[in-house]
Amino acid sequence: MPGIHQIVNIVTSLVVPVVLLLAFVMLNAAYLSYMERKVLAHMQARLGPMRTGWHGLLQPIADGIKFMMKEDIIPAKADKWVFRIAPLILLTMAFGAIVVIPFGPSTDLFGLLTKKVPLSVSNLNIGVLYILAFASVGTYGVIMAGWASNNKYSLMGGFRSAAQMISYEIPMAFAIITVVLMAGSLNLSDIVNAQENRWFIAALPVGPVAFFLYLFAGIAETNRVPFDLPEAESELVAGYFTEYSGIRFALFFMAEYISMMVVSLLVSIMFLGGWLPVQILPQTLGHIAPIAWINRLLAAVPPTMWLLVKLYFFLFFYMWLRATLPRYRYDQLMTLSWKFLLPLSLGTLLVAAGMKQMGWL
Amino acid sequence: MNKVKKLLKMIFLVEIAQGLALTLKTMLAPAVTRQYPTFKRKPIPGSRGLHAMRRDEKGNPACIGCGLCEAVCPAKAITVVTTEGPGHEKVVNSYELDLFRCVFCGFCIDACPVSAILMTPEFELACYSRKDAFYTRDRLVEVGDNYMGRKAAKKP
Repeated sequence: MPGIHQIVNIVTSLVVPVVLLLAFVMLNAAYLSYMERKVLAHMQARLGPMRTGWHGLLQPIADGIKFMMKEDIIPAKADKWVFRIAPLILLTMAFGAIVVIPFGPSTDLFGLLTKKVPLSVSNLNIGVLYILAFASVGTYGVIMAGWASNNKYSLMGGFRSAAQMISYEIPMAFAIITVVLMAGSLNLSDIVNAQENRWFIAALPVGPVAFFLYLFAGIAETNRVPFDLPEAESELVAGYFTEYSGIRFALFFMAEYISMMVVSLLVSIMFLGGWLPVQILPQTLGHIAPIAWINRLLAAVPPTMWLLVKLYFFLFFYMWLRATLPRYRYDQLMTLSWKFLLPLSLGTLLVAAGMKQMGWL
Repeated sequence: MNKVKKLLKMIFLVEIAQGLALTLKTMLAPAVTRQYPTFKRKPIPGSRGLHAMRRDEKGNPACIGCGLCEAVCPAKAITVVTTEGPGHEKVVNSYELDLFRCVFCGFCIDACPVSAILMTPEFELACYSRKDAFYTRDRLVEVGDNYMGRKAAKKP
């Protein structure tokens, strides 16, 4: 029989963070679709959604209602249970990955709590490995969706996705290991704290290279333009979710946006100092009054806000790329990964290891 | 030298950066979309829209029933029925325009010897009933009256 203290403890340490995170992520996933449509529209000199609510602000809600009201269609020759489970796997894995992400430094919520708690649902010591594992398992959802639909386009999309994710996971893992080497920890909070003096993107010469490697691999991992081969509209109708409609289709979309968020958060945490404030000018010039004032003003912004600013910048960057770049050809995609990114990431890792050994990093 | 330049361009993604700059510039520029039902563009003078019929000096429909518009119409949208009146004059029994067939080429306007049939710039022709798309002589005169009245009211 658990005591009242234990129940309160479970509620405050597990239920409240999970509910808050779920609300934040779901709201974001809905409004990212709005943001994507708006950004794409304006980049193409259009307006985007304008009718539902002020400047179309209620569009995600209207979309959600529409998705839920739609008939739930499962193709007659589909593998029914696999077909049903596939979007859930994808969504669960995307959600699972975001659990370990710290949204700020350890806090006692302005004195509300007796001891400091990390601002993540689970402050895992192997956070980086955990995210890599979840990203890999998500691939199964895609392959299962492609296989269960019993449709050649879906199958091709699923296979492409599998090949692509396997190819890009390797340079991505090496880029992450470079960061882990620099930080000396697999814990995401520790990685941020290790960047107190210098963000890892500024850790010459390996930092910027690892940053771009991770960014490319992350975009490829989430199947976004210019690496959106698995859902190439012009070739494969919609790729692995061709046969999906209604709420299941919406689940795929949500999973995509959530994994975009995970990648963006990871980039900000691993290379751009997470919740550490932006310092326009180096601290060494701090004795000049205006520079010190600006830096103090920037440091006064709450840490979580900084992380969100970086998150939304990278989400915007995703959409920006989508509006700008055409799609890679399939062989180019593979060439880029195996012949270019993989040797580069290995080299970066070697250089980083050597520099770490010499104490230069 | 050129090869090195090309390689550097490739490594530092210069062209992608240029593309990104272009899309960002487009995003910050105002969109070209017009919010149609709330914002309507002024019709271009001489644009070919809904037909109208003019009245003659006595106030009767100006059509003399020559049938030239019917003959010239490439879509066979116009049907003119005429009979002989008591004083051996031509009487226009019916003048029908089928907007479902009309291609808005404007040949009927060119063909009319007395400029009885005209075109207004009116282009919002959606209707709830199929009947509404058949324009008889009376309706065409009404359109003409409305249009002319509006124009006359605007002029001074």
